[in-house]
Amino acid sequence: METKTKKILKVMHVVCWVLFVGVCLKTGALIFSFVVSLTSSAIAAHNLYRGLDLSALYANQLPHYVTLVSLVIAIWGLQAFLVYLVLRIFAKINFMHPFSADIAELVSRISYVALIIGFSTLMVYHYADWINAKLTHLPNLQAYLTGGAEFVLLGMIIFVIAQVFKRGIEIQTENELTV
Amino acid sequence: MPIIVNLDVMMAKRKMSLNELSTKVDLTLANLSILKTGKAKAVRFSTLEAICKVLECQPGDLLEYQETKE
Repeated sequence: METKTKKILKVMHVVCWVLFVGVCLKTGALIFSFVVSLTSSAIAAHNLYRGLDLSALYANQLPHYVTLVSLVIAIWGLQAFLVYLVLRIFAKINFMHPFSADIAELVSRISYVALIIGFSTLMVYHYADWINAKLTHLPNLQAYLTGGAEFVLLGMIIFVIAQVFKRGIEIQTENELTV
Repeated sequence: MPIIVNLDVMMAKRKMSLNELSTKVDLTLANLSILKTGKAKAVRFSTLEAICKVLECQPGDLLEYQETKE
């Protein structure tokens, strides 16, 4: 493999690690302030994560507050899991023999997770929209729930790639078992 | 797989070891083992020709079709 490609992959590996730590911290911070808002101080709902203010929802509709924040935590957690799967690919891949069943499984799992994230984000976005219109005004939540359609598109593209990858492995296995 | 490879039967009839066959047909032991254990997905005509020549048999002596219930 070319040295340039190797360098790019190394940089991507580092970027993935940074991304993974970042998303984990983001999710952890939200979980922490969510738990604090429910157990000790309602003030935490004023700034759950970098300006995310759901204090009005907390004060008026606690069940919706719990549901909404739990869904956002789940989505962010899934995003962290997605990056973790990419990191596992980096850890497992062998560029001398890149087509292995493990990698194919990881690629197809990435596509499923991306699709789940995309559809969940779209769903939660509309849920927040509904709360905004019917129950309580949520000033800045939508900004934290963007990218749903992009994740769906990403998931679909990776799903197709995963199927091609699987077929490639089948052909490779058949070739290896031809005497 | 409904196709059975009777390589071991023919080898026993000709009193030939896998090592000897491997040398005579110029195939690796690993590949012959794949063929013998029935793991092979396909056999090249050239391989079949070489094996038939060495074991003095017909392709039908090596391959057999057995219907399996799905």
